[in-house]
Amino acid sequence: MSSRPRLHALSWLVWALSATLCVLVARSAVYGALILLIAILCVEMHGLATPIGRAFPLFCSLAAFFAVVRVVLDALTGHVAGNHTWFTVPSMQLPSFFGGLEIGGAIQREVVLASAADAFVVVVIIAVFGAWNAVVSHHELTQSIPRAFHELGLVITVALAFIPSTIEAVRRTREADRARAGGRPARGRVRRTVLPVLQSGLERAISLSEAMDSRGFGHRGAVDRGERVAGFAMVAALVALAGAGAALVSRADVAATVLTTVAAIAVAIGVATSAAAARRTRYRPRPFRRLDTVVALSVALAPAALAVVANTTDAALVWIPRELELPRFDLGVALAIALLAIPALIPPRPAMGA
Amino acid sequence: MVLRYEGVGFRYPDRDVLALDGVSLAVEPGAFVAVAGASGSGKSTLLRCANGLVPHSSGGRFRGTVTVAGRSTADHRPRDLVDVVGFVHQDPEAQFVVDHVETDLAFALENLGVAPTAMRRRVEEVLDALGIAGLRDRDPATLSGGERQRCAIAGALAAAPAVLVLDEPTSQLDPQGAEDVLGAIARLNQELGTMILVAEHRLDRVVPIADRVLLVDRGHIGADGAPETVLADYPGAPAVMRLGRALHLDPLPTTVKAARSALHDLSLGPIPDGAGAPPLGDVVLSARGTCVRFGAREVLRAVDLDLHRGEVVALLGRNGAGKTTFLRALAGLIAHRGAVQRTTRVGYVPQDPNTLLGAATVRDELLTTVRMTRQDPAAIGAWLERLGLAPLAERHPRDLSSGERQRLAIAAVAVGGSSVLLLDEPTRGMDAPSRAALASAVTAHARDGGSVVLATHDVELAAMVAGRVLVLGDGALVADGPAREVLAGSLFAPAVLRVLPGFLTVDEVLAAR
Repeated sequence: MSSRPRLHALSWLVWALSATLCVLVARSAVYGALILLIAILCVEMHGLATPIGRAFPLFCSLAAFFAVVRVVLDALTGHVAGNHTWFTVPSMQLPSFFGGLEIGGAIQREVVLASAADAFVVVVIIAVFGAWNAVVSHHELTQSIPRAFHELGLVITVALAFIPSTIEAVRRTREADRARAGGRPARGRVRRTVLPVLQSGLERAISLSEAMDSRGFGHRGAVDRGERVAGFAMVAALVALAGAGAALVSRADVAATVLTTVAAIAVAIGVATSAAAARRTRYRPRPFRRLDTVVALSVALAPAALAVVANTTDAALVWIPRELELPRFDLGVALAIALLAIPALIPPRPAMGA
Repeated sequence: MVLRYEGVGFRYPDRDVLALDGVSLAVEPGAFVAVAGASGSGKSTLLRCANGLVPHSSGGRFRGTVTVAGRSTADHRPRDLVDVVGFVHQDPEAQFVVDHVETDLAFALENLGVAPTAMRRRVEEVLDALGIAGLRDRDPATLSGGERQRCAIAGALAAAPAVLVLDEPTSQLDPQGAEDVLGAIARLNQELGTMILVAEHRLDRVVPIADRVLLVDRGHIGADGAPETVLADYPGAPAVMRLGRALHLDPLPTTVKAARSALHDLSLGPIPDGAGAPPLGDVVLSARGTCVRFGAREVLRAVDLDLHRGEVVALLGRNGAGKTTFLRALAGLIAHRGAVQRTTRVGYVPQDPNTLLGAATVRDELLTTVRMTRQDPAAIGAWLERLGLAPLAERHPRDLSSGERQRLAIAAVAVGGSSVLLLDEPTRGMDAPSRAALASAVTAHARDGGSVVLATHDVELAAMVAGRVLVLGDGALVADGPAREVLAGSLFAPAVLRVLPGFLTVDEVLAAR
């Protein structure tokens, strides 16, 4: 666990998007497992010593839990004629006004395997997202987005900081309640826990907002021209988008395309002018170094390489199991996915402080 | 005059009473002004007017004018005054925006749009001014309270304001942390000429460095002037001043050094030896070899304690020495090794009273405990009386001052019929009257056959109520013995003991004359 990230937040963003794309394109358990392994490796190497960084295992276990629930539900409710039955459990028929669904009964091999394969893909996507949260500095991320969105980014950073303190407040409140009842469980415990936690959270939020106000947050001079331009651009974008929607409904494809393009340009102008108008400067923004560029480009290659491999060879990317068998494994595909592991090869920054 | 109040009156929304009434004040640049007064007297409100948090953030009705460096708070919001007033909050945790000390310091500068090179230089300057350059890459959440508060001060100073306002900056800190913070403030005042306006309950450390003290009393400025004159009759005055007052010294000493030289030829009777104290009862709580681990870290190493009926024990030690952990182990709230035997009911009052308080009124809060523990509701009145809460019985707990909340939390636990009370840092944020009420409640509880363990940084309180003192250091028991012996060796010994070796309190000195 290191204290400051080695790689730029944007490189990690490219990594997370590429990994997600790979999972979606190569929907096979082997490739999914490979990507999961790479995500774990990246957290091992670059995980930050923040509460969210430490929450990665929790993230994964939660995803696995919901996957198991999903497979069980699918197995109990999925019945397709012609499938192989593995074994039979007691069944019950729901009343017809609930759809007359049969729960239980024959547990079919094809249903369980297909559901498990699907659920595993979701687990891997969540793990990638969890890994991204564990390695990235959220503050650095807000520093890298256009200045027009600075306030929004800050809101997210502050909200994330509230999660660990709320968990701690819940723990302390429950302990205080236990001590007060003399160690016995007493009724009305949830109510006695929720109220103090909410009140303390509110008090903290108020003092934080006052501290931010006292430190000049939201300070700016009179509204200047740039901000007005940005406002008009955003209104224009909204109008154009609404027009595009109407054009789509009436199947005027050309008009819809033109209006969507206009909206996109207006949004770009709005963001650019409002970013230029924001009278804020940035303290030591983390530069995007050559290493960051190299990593971002090479991980972005992974989904591209996957597409090339899939189109030029007969390697099957998607595997939907019908029976218990080993999934097909193709070295070319695996090598393409292995590009995602490049960040894990870079040594993290040595931990500073405690 | 860098800071000027003219006829300031203020009432919070939904309140009938004026929080401030007719306050006029002028402070010259570079002054060090301490603001004293009981909880709820309007100290905080007075401070919050200085950068316009009152009324811009609080709402309510405001009259009069406050001007800082020529700008009126009527047409400048707090965010427009960053470059003239820095504001530091009581709670060091609630003022960090970024999880990186160095970047957090630059927050105000970023908001002002300062050029990157100037910003860089300014951040280095405040890092040095507060002596926190070594902490620049840390996450504020991993710092100790004193370090965190110094980082918060650095953040408030980043925009080079002429005025620094601090609302009880040391009330959440241990003695060492408080010393560091006040030392840093004194240096800023002396070397950079920053005007300081600081509110404090514990005046012992502030009075020696302040030029001027404001005594706030129910929204008015009761007295304003040099510390020796303003605090002459104030009950919350530092212990050395109370000692000087009791011995009719003139002028009143404000430091231990001054008191020592004024009293070097004072002849006193024999040092009290505790012979008159009632004998202790049987052991009601006994811990043998208590060990606690959090992950790989050993927080508590083989600590022993025998607590007798009628005994008050003070548990001292640095932040992180294991005081809270030991109390939680004694209360059976955490897993530990070693035997803990309880022959009676044990009540634990946590450090943060807010974790307990959820009822609609003070009386309901006690009633909740009585229902939970199926005790006799008749005890409610007695405990309200004992902790001085009877006049507040119908108030909402969240409207109370922090000292009153602390006392309420103690009453809410004690009413459950525990004869052993474990109090964790009960005087945090307490003013003098609350502290006196707590001390007499503890003494009364022990006299009635109860026992108390106090984990505290407040050595003056320990000297007042405790017969025995335990000192924890790094999870191990460093000292265990009579209060007089254990406290004598410490750098943070009570002031009276440092002036007149052998005597713990002003009352003991008077009895020995």
